[in-house]
Amino acid sequence: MIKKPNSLWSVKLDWYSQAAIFCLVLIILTGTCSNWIATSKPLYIKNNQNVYFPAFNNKKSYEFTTEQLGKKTYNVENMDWVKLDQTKKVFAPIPYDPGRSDMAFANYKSPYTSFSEAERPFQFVHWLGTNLKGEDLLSGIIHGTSVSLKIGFFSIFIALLIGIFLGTIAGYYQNDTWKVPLFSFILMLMTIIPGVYLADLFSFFAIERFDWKNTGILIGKIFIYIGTLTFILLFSHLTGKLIHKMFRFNKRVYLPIDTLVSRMIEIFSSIPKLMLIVALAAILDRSVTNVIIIIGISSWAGIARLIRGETLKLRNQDFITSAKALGLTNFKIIRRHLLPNISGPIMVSFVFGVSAAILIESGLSFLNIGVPENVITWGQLLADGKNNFNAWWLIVFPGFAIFITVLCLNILGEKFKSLLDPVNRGIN
Amino acid sequence: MSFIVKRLLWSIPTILAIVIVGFVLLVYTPGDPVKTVLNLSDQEDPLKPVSPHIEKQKKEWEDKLGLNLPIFYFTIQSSVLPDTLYKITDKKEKETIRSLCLSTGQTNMVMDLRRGIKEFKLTWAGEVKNLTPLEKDSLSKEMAEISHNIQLLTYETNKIKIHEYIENLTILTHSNFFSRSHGIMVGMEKEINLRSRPGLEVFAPTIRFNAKSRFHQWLLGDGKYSKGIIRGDFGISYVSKEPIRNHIYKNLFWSVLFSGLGILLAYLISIPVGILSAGINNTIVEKLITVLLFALYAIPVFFMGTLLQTYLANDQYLHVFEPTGIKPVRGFDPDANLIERWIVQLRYMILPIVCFTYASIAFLSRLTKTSMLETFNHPYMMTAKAKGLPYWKILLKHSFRNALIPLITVFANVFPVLVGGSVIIESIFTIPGMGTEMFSSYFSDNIPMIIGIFTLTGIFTVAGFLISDILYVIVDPRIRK
Repeated sequence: MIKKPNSLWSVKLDWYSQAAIFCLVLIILTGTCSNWIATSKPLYIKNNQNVYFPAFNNKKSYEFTTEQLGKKTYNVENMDWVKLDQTKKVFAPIPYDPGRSDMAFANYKSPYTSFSEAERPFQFVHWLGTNLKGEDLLSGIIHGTSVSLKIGFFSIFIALLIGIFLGTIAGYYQNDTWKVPLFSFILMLMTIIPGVYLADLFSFFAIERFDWKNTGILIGKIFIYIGTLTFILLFSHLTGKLIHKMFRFNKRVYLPIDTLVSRMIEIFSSIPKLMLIVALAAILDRSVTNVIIIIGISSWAGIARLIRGETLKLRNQDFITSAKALGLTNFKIIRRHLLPNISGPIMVSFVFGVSAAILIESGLSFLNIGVPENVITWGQLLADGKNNFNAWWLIVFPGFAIFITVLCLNILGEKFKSLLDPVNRGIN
Repeated sequence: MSFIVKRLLWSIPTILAIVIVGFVLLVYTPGDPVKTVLNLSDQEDPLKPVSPHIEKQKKEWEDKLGLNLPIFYFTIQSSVLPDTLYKITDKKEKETIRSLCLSTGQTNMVMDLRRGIKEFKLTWAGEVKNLTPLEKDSLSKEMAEISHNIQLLTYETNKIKIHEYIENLTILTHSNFFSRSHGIMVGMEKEINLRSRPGLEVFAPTIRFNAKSRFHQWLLGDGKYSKGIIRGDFGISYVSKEPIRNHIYKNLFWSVLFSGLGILLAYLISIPVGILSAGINNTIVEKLITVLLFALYAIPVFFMGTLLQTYLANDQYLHVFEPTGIKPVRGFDPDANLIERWIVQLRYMILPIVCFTYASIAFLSRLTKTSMLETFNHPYMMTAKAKGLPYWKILLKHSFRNALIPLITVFANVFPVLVGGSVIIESIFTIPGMGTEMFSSYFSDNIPMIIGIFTLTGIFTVAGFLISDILYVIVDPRIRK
């Protein structure tokens, strides 16, 4: 295989970028495996010749046989796995659930003192201490990793989808490429309000039919709105074309896509991000999905602006012109020639966006806004430390977790940015 | 000049769009504003009908908040919905009627059902009042059942369940004591039949144009209760029941003071640091500074704030500064003069200002450095060197002046922070600014306050962009075309 010269993947990275990538891989692994790293359920249990793997499934109750009690059904919710006799058990590395109080270690036990206080196996140490209710901090941090990463990645994914779509069409089509018949244009303008009206009705009937009352109501509504509006606009475009052909009325106008998108970007970047997020959070229910959507739809403007600029730079270059001359469709040019060439800036904005989203999410949950209280996050753990200033571990460790994650992402983003800079690449 | 005028004109639709976004957020908030204002619970006890005094207050607040007006200048809604739907202020009730009308297509029957439920509640409460204590005792189980059923029926949208509850109520009220309410229920059971699916008439719209609307009141005022955003009136706070603008002007001072000082300090510190690190580029000292600033930039502000509060404003460790507030709780020493008061107050102000400053320092000095390094490649720098100018003079006069442009562009982003303050920093240090107001409004469901601050900061951001664009033109004449 021929190695592409000056490609992003062929560059040798510095030691600190390598360290950042290593740390990030570790953090992502911790986040994805949090349910098996920190859980009170044993990973493996052998009782009466039967083998179970409680940590890997969601079974509500188990039937175990012990010498004293005989055969008995145990409920997972409130059972003490440690006291189960006559069984072979292998516990998770951190055998505590987040947010589950351990009365023997209640009232702010620091990381070191807790070691000698209760007689337990070496594995059952609270490595990073506990809070007032005796909840294990390390377990909380590990589970917080998964929440933070989930919110960070998915919200920026949404922002990237919107940003790439609007940015490329604005940069590529500009105001002078997409010519539509005058009738289509007028019909499109006229059918926007009826489209919203129909989308509202459709979303009502869809919610009624599929019983979306609790889960995904916002996502469902957004999809139905987008789908209906697209359909209506397409319909009016086609109708306009038909009228155009029937009456041979040769007037055509350009769709001012760039002006529209630029105005939208300006409006969205004029609204202070945190203010928009707090206002939306006050209106919507508290859930992780809603936080993802809120952060996603409030941070697309910067990405769209960047991508529009990059597309504008490439738009009049020779390879696009020759692709046009070959007779490729606009969609194919964007997909095959434009997007691969702006993948670098997209990656940079993705990395920085994830770090910003993690910061916003932890700031919000520090203020107890947005993420529900029963979901444990880094910001929430840090806010817990404010109740007792003696418990330094409650402030330092969650804060450090956020700091390391954001630092690694920023280092990686800076590295990508400098690699994309032609001046630096020339030297390498 | 024409550039500035064009820019000014373009900012008007942007501001209008921000105002509309704020209005949409305000209108689509769940919950009944009147109930939030009057502190009424969401779950009504059917045995205690709302007193006429509260009914009167409700009407008054509906007028004040403009809730009995249609939302926009025109209304477009399904023809099966009742024309006067907008007059119902209780959002839950409105949602129930809308949902029932759309899923059955029988407007009159739905309205009959709502009327019947209301009438039943009143009649039944009257009949319960007339019972003797002994009878009440013997009927307590049935009464609890009826109360439970009527509560469930009130906001039910499932057709089958509605019929089920009506049937239950008919059976439960079948006794001599509740004869009149039983009559109402029997009537409802006979007349109301919601078991049909709607036809295509659901999709037929009715369009009406309204002379008076909530949007008009919100934007331009109605001459009676509100002056409109255009004259700086953002509505009435649900909590204190005062106009929001009184709160905002009180809080604006502290927000502007803290963030203004923070931003000023950030510029004052970061520009010399940036020039210095550009001047000694690729030395060990410069690399150390860069690493330090990079690390500073990644520290979340709430972490920094809590750390400072814990270790520098706490009896357990060091008590150099004060952890919260802006002045002593008991007030100043009466004998102290102005300078002594300022010194006392400084202990409260330093930590928040540090929090406002450190991230901006990291960002701004990096920006200064990189944009100065970019100028090094230009020929005029070579000329300056060839002329034999001293190094510091080249840096300051030739490089820094050309590196100013990005710093000015960034200034636009500073403006909203100046006005809105920082929600996180202000609530950590309990500074009575806009951020704290936003934070407390979130928890007290004070939506008009949130939307007011949101709109105001949005308008100021547009102003910031405008100012930075104008500065841009002044600094760089090449843009003027």
